[in-house]
Amino acid sequence: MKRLLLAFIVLLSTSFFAHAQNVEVKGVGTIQYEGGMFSKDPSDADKKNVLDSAKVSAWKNYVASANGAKQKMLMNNVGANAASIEKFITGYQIIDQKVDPNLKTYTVLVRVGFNTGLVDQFLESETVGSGASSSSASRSKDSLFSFLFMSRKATSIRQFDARKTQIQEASTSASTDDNGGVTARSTKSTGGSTMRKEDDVSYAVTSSQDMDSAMGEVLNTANIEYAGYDDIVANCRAPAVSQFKNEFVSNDELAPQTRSKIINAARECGVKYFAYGTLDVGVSDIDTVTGNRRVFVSARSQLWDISKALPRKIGSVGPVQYSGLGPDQSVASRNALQNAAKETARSLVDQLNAKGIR
Amino acid sequence: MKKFFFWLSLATIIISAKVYAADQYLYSGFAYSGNYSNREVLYPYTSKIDMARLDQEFLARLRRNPEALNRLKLDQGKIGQGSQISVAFALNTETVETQVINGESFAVIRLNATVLAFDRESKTLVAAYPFGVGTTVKVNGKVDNALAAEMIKKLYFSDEYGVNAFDKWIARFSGAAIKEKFPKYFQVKSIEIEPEAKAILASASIQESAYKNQIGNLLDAAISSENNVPVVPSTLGEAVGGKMMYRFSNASALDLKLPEADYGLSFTIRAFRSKITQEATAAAGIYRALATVKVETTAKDFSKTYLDEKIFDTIFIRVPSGNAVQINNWSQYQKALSQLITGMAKEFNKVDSQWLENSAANGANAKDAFVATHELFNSLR
Repeated sequence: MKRLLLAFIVLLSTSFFAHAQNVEVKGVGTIQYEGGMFSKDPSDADKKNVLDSAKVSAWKNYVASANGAKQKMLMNNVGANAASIEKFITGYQIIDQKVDPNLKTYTVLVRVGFNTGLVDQFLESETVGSGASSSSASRSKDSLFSFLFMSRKATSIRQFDARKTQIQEASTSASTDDNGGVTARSTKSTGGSTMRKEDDVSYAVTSSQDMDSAMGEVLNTANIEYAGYDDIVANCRAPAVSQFKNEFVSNDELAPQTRSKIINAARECGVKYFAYGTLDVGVSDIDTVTGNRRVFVSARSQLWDISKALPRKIGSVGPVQYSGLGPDQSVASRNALQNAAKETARSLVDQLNAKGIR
Repeated sequence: MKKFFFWLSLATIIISAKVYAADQYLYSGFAYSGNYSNREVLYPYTSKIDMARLDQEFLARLRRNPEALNRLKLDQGKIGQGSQISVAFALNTETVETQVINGESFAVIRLNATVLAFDRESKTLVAAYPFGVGTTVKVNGKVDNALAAEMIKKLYFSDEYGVNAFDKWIARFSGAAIKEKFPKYFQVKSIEIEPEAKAILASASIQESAYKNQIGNLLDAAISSENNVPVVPSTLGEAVGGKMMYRFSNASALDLKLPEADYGLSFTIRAFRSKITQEATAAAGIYRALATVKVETTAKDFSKTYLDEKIFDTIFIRVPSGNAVQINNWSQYQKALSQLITGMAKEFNKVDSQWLENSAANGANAKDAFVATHELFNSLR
């Protein structure tokens, strides 16, 4: 009966993992073999070893494709040996193999599938710590996180033609030669300069609702609990966004006094880690490849430890450009904002995970 | 209780198979490959036809073929509900050329297209089965734009030439295996032209990059058709950064991620050579296309070469003397090259010693390499 139940659970989990988030990466494994008494070919044990080595090589390639914070976490918590990575492997395909009988080397090329969802879950459990003994686990206690993102949209761009200045100077001189004749000489010098003026861009602050929900989605998936900025406004007298949004229209950063008020209020509410950032939405153009409208968003963010009187910057993202496509400007900019918010949030999550924050 | 778990397990297997097996594919209609803003340059004649009309004709011809239609789901469904493997008619190139042979003009028209299978959810190309369709029509003088447009239209909307682009797609689709995942992927990686061949291109006023694209399409279609294997579209033309754009008849555009090819083919055209001898009653022409073909793994830290052979093919023509004889050298070279590519693709499917004797510089010594390549192609399906 227990066996049947187990079989059913295995069946269910297999069917789930077969369709879980999967990333495929190639890896190459090479070993030197001795050959058996009756055969010059690699033995079964050699074949297993070379396969393990190829899987580890694929894992290293996968780790190398992650951002710096995640790479560090993966190497610290998973390492790079066949036994520790086996649980993340959804499947593998031997693409090719070759044996060099002279050098007695056996090389295998494999494509390995990794369950990235499982990798992320594992990292969260290890870094935030279900084990109470880990130092990171103790850090995670009461480490409330909050964020404030402002977005502004370019409403118009005025481009200036290059201003060219040409200077021409003419001079005439006359001299008398030994025979008493007069020689006249005329010279003309030309020059000038070209001045280019930076584009004059007008901005308007836009709603951050889409961005907040895109950020929230990533944070929730990563099991990072957070407090909304509106609650900090309501409970700890932080300045409301409407009070300082005009600062952000003309300048892409907050005034030091405003920033200080926000951080003090957040600290009063028990927030230990605070991220704030800006997203600049550009003017739409036509994407030549798809014929759709295209909008670029430039994102940047900073992650601060505000537990002490003097906040410490513990991470940052960007500036990075993201683009979105759509049949009209509104859809394109919404898609671009979502892309930017999600990618920024993912990067922040990796940095938070690396510090054991939940 | 045991029975309960048995039936529950069985039901899970059935439901899971039902949800994920791609027995039916979502129909995605007509699509242009490549940069949409270049469509009038890439497809000067097809782009003038209303895409909705092309889609209607495609669907009408599919409805006449219940076997193919049964493999398709016309209802698009929603992302996340069941298999999202979709298939489309993707147009790759269209060409119209005028050739003068023995004083007579002929229009040579050709469409290169693909049975394109992709996963709508992950935006990944799953399989591409390229094919070509075309015909040669006798015309009066040079083909003008209006006549070219009319002839291209007939390839879509009529059976007048004995071939129809949509019917060819249906035939190709009917024999094509489409899986959610293939074990290995193959791609034509490069086309090179050596100086001797380049000189012939220059004398025929042929633009090199366009010609390379044309040969890439020819190789894709021949290798895929003769071996019934999917290929990753050759990235010689419109693919950028491992992605390929497709624009569909419902105005949606998809940036499909191409699978990373495990094996690549490099094709180098070495030379075009000819010899014409004047005999008592006829002029005899020998036209030869010479190339080098290489098939190897693409991984940067795993190098294995399956095939690296010099190959060639020859065509012979005889034109009775006494007539105003005009032999267009360029078109004869292209016939020789086309015959060489088809012969080579067939050799990957079934190694024929006679072809090796006639067309491989190493003759029978090339057999092992072609056998290894044949086995490689068997593993691609």
